[in-house]
Amino acid sequence: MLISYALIKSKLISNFAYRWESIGVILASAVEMLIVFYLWSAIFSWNNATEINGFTLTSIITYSVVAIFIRLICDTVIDGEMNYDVKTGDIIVMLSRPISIRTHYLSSAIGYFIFNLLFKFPLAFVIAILIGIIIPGLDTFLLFILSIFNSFLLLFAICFIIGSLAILLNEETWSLWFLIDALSLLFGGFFIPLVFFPDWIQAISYLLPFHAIYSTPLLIYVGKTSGIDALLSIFVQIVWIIALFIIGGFVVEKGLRRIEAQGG
Amino acid sequence: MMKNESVINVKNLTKEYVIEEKESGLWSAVKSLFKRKKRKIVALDNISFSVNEGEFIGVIGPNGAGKSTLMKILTGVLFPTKGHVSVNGKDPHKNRLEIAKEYGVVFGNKSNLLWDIAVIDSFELSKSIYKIPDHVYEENLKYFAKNLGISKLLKQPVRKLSLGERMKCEIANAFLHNPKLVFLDEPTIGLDVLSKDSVRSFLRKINKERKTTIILTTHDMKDISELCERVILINEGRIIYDGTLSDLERKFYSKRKIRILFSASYPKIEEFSADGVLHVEKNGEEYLLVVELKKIKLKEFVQKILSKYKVADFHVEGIELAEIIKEIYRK
Amino acid sequence: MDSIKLYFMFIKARLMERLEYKTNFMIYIVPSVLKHIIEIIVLWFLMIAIVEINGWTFAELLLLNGVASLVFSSLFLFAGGIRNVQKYIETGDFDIILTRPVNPLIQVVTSDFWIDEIGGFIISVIKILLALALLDVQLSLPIIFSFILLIICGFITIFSLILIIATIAFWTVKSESLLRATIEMSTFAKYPLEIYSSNLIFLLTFVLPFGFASYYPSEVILEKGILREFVFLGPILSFIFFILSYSFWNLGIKHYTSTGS
Repeated sequence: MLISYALIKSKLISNFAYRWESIGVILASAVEMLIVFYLWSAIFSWNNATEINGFTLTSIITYSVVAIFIRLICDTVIDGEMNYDVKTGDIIVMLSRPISIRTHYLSSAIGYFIFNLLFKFPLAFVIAILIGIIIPGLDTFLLFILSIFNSFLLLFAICFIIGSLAILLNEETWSLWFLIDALSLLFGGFFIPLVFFPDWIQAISYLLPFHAIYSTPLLIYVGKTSGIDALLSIFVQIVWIIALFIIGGFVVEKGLRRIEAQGG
Repeated sequence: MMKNESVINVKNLTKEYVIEEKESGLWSAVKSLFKRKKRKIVALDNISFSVNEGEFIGVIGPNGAGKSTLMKILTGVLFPTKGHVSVNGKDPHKNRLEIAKEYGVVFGNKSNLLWDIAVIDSFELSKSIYKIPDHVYEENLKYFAKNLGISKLLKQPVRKLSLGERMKCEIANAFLHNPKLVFLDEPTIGLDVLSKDSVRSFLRKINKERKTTIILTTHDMKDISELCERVILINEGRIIYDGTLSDLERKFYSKRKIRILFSASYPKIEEFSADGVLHVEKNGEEYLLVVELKKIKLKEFVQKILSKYKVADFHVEGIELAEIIKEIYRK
Repeated sequence: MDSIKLYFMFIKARLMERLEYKTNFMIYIVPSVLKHIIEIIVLWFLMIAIVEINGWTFAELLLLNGVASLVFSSLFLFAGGIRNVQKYIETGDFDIILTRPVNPLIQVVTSDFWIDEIGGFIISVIKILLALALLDVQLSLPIIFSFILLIICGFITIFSLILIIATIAFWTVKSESLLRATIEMSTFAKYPLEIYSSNLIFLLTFVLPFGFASYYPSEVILEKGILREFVFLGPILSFIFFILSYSFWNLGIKHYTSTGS
């Protein structure tokens, strides 16, 4: 089975205890959204521009704010969780359970995702509205939701690979997330759309999964991709999901071999 | 030179807390934003005692009796609601940093040593913190090596040590700066029998040789009987006994426990009631009697029973310290 | 002074602990350094499109960014232990801290020495040096001196802020996420203050003084003339702020020793 409902539920409940801590993260995101608002407003007014690289002020603010939003909601802490389990040795206990490692962590991630939807989404949404983002039409919105779900799976797949590396190498790998985060800035179109970068960087970004996480849903949301193009980009997301899941499965298999040989 | 001043002096010490009642559920969480129910707890109630130099005192009490609260107040970590406390002639709370140099402490379930570095490195750190002169430091290391057997442990990180080994190092660390006063909070908890023995003999020795005043809280009665001449029993924040161990035993030593196994016709419990029979209990087939020797002649009493009933087995025992304590608490 | 010597002794012990740990340094240092570098690359490309933000060129923004990241890297490096306050209070380990004849604040601050952050520290210095080179500014001794002084003031100011938030743990025991959020708020500091509304500027100077973490030290070099008055008030303000936060900390300890949690 791919996911365990029982595990999803138990993770949701256990995260419930930390609901007040979410305030800190929401605050941080609110700050980022405000910065984005002020920064772009300043840039546009200073340059007396109505459009930069094809983006109006409202659309670029919307783009950046929704980017922060996506990161807030789709944030999975699986890499940290897996690292922790390796460090404490709990990973070995997990091997004796009848569900696969990936199922375990995917369920945990989904539980956390639902938690985010319940506790982080509302407040962040209110802040985003106050800043004044565009609200798209229904059909755009539906496509957006679909691509967000894929973004979540992509983030999960990447975090799962980082966590699996911890199992394989028996080292702490959570700091690799900084790398992923930074690469998302450059190659993912997070916060600054890819069109701002020179062609060669855009070319590289299509070879990497990061643009599928942020740029794809964001461009759909602000209407830069629609119709067939939108569906095509969602298809690309799915291809990346499959590819990353395969890589993740491979790494975790090797990791489990190592544990079986060394005992963790 | 005679020391007239006591090392510890506690007068009318009372410690009260106000705690907020926490309830579960969403509605209570919302309510608690506006008003919280408060409850007053009296952890220590008007206690007084004093300790002289060189004494080795055991503090016993059930969990929640106030032992740790007392320790915390004596070390200045907590301050009293009412009353006077003086340690080494100073108010421990007002002079916390100052008196911290003058005592050593071991908390049984927490570690004073740094977890990931070698024991000796933690000792070096203590040397800097307590400003221990070189010759004292070297001397003590030799002393501990000889009497606690920790020389092979020194180069290992604390996390690699077994509980017994770690506790010995913690105790060494507490005595490292030659404090006149040492607080030990459950130091033998979880230790195996051998470790307990070596810790006890070390403590006995150092108390005798250096006249270090030691306050020990423990649940292990053997710690008390082997180390402490004086015990303080605390229950529900009050001192219910403060005196020597021998006095305590003498008071109860005149009592005897008799276990009788009858082979047929089990007598009713009321049959044993007489002046001097303090307690009668039936546990299945076995009868337990506690008699006061000052009132009953043991030989006559036993002979009467043997002649009247068919007895399969019987034992006569003195009262163990643990039982004595239980007795006191039952009152 | 004694406290300084003890501070370094504790740091040394923590460093030994960290080195005992099997975890590879590189796994933290490389990604974090790369993160800093990529931030700058993104800024670079943004500036190509926009040329200037409110009159701030790439080099000027680089200086701002560099100073901010230097202050925060230093905080992680030298005072990272402050995060542990909540943990120590929850587990009761704070009692042990109180039984040692060493200032509790020093013990807490040194409870973690995250040497891995040295990568971020070095790259922050490089950012600043690069920016100074690009700016082609006349650097005299007094300017360098006040620059460094204000960076130190920035460090003290943000440290005091973090101390205040950590102290809340004595009452609510839930300061950790607030602490993390405050560190995240540091992103405000990476951008020129003028782009913000005047209310926000007030907030960032007097209430959550992130302005001191980057803007005011950079002003010494850049001399943009805006908000220059605060530059001179810098040392005084940060000193006062530290005194306030330290008093609050002691208040927190007093509260802890009365309730014992």
